[in-house]
Amino acid sequence: MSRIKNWLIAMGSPPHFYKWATSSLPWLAGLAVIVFCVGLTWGIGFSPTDYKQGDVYRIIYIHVPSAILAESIYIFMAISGFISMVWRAKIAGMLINSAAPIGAGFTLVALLTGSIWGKPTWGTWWVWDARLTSTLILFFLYAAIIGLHSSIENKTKGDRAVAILAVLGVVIVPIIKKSVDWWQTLHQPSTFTLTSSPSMSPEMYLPLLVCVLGFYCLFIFMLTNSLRGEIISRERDKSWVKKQFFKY
Amino acid sequence: MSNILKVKNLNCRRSGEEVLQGLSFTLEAGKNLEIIGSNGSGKTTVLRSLLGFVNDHDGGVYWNDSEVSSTFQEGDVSCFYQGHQIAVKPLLTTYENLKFSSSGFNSSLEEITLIAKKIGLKHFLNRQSSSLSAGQKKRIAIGRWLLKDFNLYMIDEPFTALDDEGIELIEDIVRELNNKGASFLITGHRPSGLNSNKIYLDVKNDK
Amino acid sequence: MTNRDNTLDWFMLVLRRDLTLSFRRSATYITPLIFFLIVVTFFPLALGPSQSLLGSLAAGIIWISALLSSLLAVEGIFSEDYRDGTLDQYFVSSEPVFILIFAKVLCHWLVCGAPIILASILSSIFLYLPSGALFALIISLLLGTLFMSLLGALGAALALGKSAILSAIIVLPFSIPTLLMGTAIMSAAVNQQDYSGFLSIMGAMLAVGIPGLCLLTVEAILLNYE
Repeated sequence: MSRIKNWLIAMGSPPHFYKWATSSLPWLAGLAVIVFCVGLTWGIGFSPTDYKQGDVYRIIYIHVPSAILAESIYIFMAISGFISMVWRAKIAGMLINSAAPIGAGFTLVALLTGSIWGKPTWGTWWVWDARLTSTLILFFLYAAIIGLHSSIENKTKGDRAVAILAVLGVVIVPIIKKSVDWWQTLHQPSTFTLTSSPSMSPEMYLPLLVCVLGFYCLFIFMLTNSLRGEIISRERDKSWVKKQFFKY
Repeated sequence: MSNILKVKNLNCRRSGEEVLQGLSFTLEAGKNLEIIGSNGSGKTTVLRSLLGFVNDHDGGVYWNDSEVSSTFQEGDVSCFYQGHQIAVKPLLTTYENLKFSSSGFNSSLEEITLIAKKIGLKHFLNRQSSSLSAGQKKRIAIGRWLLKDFNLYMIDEPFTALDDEGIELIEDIVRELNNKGASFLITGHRPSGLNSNKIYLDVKNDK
Repeated sequence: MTNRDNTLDWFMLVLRRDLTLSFRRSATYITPLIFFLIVVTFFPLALGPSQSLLGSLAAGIIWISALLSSLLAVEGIFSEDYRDGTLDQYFVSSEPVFILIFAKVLCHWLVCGAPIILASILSSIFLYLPSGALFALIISLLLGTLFMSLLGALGAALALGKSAILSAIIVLPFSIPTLLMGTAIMSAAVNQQDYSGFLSIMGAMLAVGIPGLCLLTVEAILLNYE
């Protein structure tokens, strides 16, 4: 336990993280590509056809992982925000800024794929069901974080500001979801959710799990890459950076 | 003589940069201390660190001889602070600016009129501060020192925008308050005529 | 060093000062009102003057306009105090600052929220709001605009010195529960149903929101001091 704790504390320092990131990036990239491709090909290429929706449902292999990632990344940002507020770890603060565009991207993919899925299944590009609406609102929350951070010149101060926003968000998001759910039932007694293939056979389910895993690996790779770049750009005046790049 | 404020080896940082190193001083009741330095030498940072606005510092800070992390006056000292921005609102009259302040809100009309007379603004009591000059606004700020008794006055650059009369006014008030046992910790660009210990700050270093 | 009398004094001080300042500058309480009325007017202009259409949409239109006006009006709540050093004095006062922040928000709500609510009564006529919903409108807006002022203050603190639109984006998603509650109250009132449950939920949100949001706002302001 204490080894993990020590590793975490060491990771909190930018130069240490940078070193770890540089060495692990190729591995992370490889892992992400492998799992991602395996999952997608399995799901899209090899899983059985759904008798209700035909082959269209295959988009679930992109849609569901994106949606799951979109929500997890927000929770992840809130946790790092909390950590950065309580323990003042610099990396935790930077994490929010790096993760936010990735999270926003996944949210967009979830919305787009949901829309594409919706057209053949219900005939419209968009429907105001609880899940899609909540995902749209999640997108706005991401946009708020990105917007706020980009408007503050002092990056560290920006980190702290978005930490507050992320922590507040994670508290409010369940409330928003509950109220959107309830709003849906209020206005439309017959609800139908996007994942309208309720019973999934293992042949469909397993590749989905692999896809989700692949998306997570992709996220970790993208995050590490982005953080690494962010660290260098912020600490560019520090001696350890100069030593790294200008070996006098 | 009790030590109202004692500072040992204070290191201050502003936006991550070391602004001040190894500052030490002792301020006793009834005495004054001036911190003098050019722009950027860190004098405002010292004040704000002591008050707790800026937490990026280390060193020993002792209020009334008991160590305190100086987070906004946990110490047993009643302290008055006036910053660079003197918080005089242009839309409020002189009377209102005095009354709606940390020292004035329990003062009566008579008390405030008396203070206004002392600072030379008796006839401007019901005039909106937007029509006053910078020096007159500074006098309102000075008036706030008198509305209530404090142990320690921390004033950032008290003499800016004041003419000779104004400077004399401050010197008289400081002397009066010193006799009552209050101390002043002020900052400035140049040494003043006050009876005080002076610390000179160099940019990037102390003393 | 702090005793309860002192905190109350400080609360009243901030409240009185801000109220005095707000009334000296008539723009403070007139502009949100006018903005609200203009936005409300645009809906019939855009959608056509049909009584039945507007009547069915009235509650939503009034609520959205009130939301936006409240939010935009609160944007400058801290900028003047931050610049002229008044905010510093709150922190030096050794009083719990979030109570003083609440005093500011309360003042703002009294000065901007009240005109908006009066204007909403007028708008209920413009938009043919079904009768019987008027009382529900006033009550729900009273609670709703207070919540919006609280949220808006947090947005203003986070985006201190930046554009109003930014502080609006930050905070609008969080106002969704209030919006949903408020409009639910309205539709319940129109259908002659009991809406006291919704009112208690809004009350609960306020009860948690007042201390919670004010505390977060203090944190956000402190960020600017580092």
